[in-house]
Amino acid sequence: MNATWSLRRRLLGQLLLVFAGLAVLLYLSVQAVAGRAADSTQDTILGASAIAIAEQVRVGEAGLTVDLPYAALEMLGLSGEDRVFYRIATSAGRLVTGYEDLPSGALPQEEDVPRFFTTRYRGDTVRVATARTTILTSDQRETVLISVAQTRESFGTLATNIALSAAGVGLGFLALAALLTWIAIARALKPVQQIGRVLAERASDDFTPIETAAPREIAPLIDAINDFIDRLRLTLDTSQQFIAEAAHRIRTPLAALKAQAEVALKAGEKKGGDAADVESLRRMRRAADETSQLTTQLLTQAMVAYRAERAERQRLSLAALARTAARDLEVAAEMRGIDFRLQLDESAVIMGDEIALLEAIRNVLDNALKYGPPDDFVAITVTGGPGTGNKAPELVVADHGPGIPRQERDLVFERFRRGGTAEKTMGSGLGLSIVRQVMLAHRGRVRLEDNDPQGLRLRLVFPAPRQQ
Amino acid sequence: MMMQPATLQKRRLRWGLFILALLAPLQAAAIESAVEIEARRAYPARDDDAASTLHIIGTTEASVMDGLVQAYRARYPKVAVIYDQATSRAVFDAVEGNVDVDGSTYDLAISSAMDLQIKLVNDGRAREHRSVATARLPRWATWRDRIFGFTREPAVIIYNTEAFRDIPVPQSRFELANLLRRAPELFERRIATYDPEVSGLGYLFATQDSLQSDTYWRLMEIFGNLSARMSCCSSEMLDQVASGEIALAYNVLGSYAQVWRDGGAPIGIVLPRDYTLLMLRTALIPLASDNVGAAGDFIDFLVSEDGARVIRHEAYLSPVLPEGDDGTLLPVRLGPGLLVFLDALKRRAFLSEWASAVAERR
Repeated sequence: MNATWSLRRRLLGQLLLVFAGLAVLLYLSVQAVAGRAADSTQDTILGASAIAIAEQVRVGEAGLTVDLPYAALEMLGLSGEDRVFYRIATSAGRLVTGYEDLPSGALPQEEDVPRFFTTRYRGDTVRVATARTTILTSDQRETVLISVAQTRESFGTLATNIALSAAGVGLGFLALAALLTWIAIARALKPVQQIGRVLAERASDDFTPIETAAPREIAPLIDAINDFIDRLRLTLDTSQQFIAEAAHRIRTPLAALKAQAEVALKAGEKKGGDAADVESLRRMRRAADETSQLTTQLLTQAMVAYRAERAERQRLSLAALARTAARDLEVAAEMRGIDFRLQLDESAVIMGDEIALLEAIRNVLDNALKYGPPDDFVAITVTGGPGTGNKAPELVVADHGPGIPRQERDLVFERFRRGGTAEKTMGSGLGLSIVRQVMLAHRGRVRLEDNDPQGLRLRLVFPAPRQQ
Repeated sequence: MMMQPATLQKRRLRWGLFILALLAPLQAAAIESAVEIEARRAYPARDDDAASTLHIIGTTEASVMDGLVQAYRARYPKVAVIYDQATSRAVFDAVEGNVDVDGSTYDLAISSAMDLQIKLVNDGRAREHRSVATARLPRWATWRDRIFGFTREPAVIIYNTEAFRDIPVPQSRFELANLLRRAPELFERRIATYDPEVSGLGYLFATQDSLQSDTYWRLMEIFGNLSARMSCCSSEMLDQVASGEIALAYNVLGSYAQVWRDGGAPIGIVLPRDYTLLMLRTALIPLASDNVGAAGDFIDFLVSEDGARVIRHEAYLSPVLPEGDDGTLLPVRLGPGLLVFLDALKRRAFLSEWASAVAERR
């Protein structure tokens, strides 16, 4: 599988993009609001100033006149150091006083409500308030426009400062959000990592369903995996059955083949036939033997696999199992002049399937007989009764053969795999794999150790049975 | 009557162009005549290889400025300085109209007319200048980083010590009004104040006084009743008080009075206890300046501690810093409020009110 993209990074990227967008939005909206607030503050002062001046417009001896109130302009200086302009003129455009070229804008609709607008004047942006007042001259009513203008540096700065602090807060949230998102994603992905770990640690022939506590969102994944495991097991079962069937069917013709070879061999020996022919017949018999043993073991394996998965577990005495297996192989042992030396703790109890376990122990003993030197002894030790503290029940079989080098110890459990020291010995390479399969089914372990001074020590470790 | 400056300038320009067309060969003379210069002092650069020339136009007397210019030259030996003394109106016109002097524009404008200087800044005729030195200035001494107060000079009451040998000296406007009312015979035709119609500084003091309290108007009515003299300038009033020709003068520049008294003139100085107006002498860099760097250096020097020392000990003026304030000192605020009394209609209205206040009623 190639991980070209990271879920965490993608999630984080998308979330941060959203947050960054929100921060920009926050900045813009606060700037707009602050700008409007600054505008309205400035408008209030400008409007008050224009109205204060409007109240001072009179008709004097020389026509329209205005007594500019000191406060009208002074109050504009309180908010900052902005430039100030004013213009008082009739609606017809005749200047009374002030800056002649200052635009007055449109005529305000009501007398008490100034009109506000923004424009450029003398190289600066200015906010203008224009108020209107009506004066009765000797012969007519005259409308006078009073415009007060102010540059917007202080108010602009104010609005920008507010917006910048808002942006700062936004960025702070952004950083916080990034951190929290990172943590949240890490937490959210934990069950997935856990499932990965469980699957990685799982034995290749363990087909039990995964039982990891997982959030609802992950459950479909687990269900799918479990479903897949189940289907895989079915497929394997089918092929196992096929193998058993095939092995069973091969047995009969194989026995016939062996019998024929036997007959031919005896006839050849009697007649004193060609030595090469006799040797050839011997090899044929040996091959038939080996094939027969292989089919037996294939059948055994299928049986064991089936039983290990399905058979009911019983309370069994490990010592009794060891004794039975040793008795079963007594003849084979005697043929090689090998003694079994048993040292059995009778109280060691395990839960399991007797037939599968016996087969496994027999395989272990068979190995020890095969590889151990003739006229020797094989030690069988059972320990781990409930009286011996917390120690798990164990069965150890020790021989004095060539042993198995450390680097090969993991390999020998695989099917049809044989250690480098086994070349001269007849065998199928299924023995240890059967042992392992049985032990796995019983939640036990197989350990290979060096025997002292030489040889192999094979240790079967069982879980202690639950107290009932 | 004062015209709206913009209009005035336009008219001036139109006339200028007219004259130019008629008298093309006399072009240079025509431009120079746009500003009336009362006195000029030219200082060559102390180093032979002058890098630039700093053109200053100011209302401060050239002799008073001399110490400051000398100290500046000592610091910047490569800069030649030309100081032109002119009236506050002439300083305003020179900056407003980008007037040339010797083929170059003015680089620094110094004036005691705060209102005119503010108008120049408000109308965008001054350049921004920021430095460590100007950042030290109190808020009331600067506006828009374009105008910088470097002296603060009180408006004081001066009196002839001989005339007041037997009379308690009034310490406030209220006491002064009471004294003048109780003993009119002693002060008939023997008091003086600025004529705001003639003097820009007098107008500034009068308008600021009118903002502070109505006592000012009562005081002016009494002045009118006593046939007070209306003077053009502080030095005239100081001469008259020193000689005993008059007994008391109101709203005289305190820095000048100090010089007179230190020179042995028999005068006393009173900083009115109710409030004492502080006029700021300000400097700004005209927009048209072609030696901004030197002008900025000059301003930085004026507001520096060294500058303050020179201002105090050689120019006999009071530097803006350090601030010492007993609560009665009232600096005239640099701000748009000063534009109000520059308004032509406002000025006319104020002067007419003032004239009717001081009109004799006997």
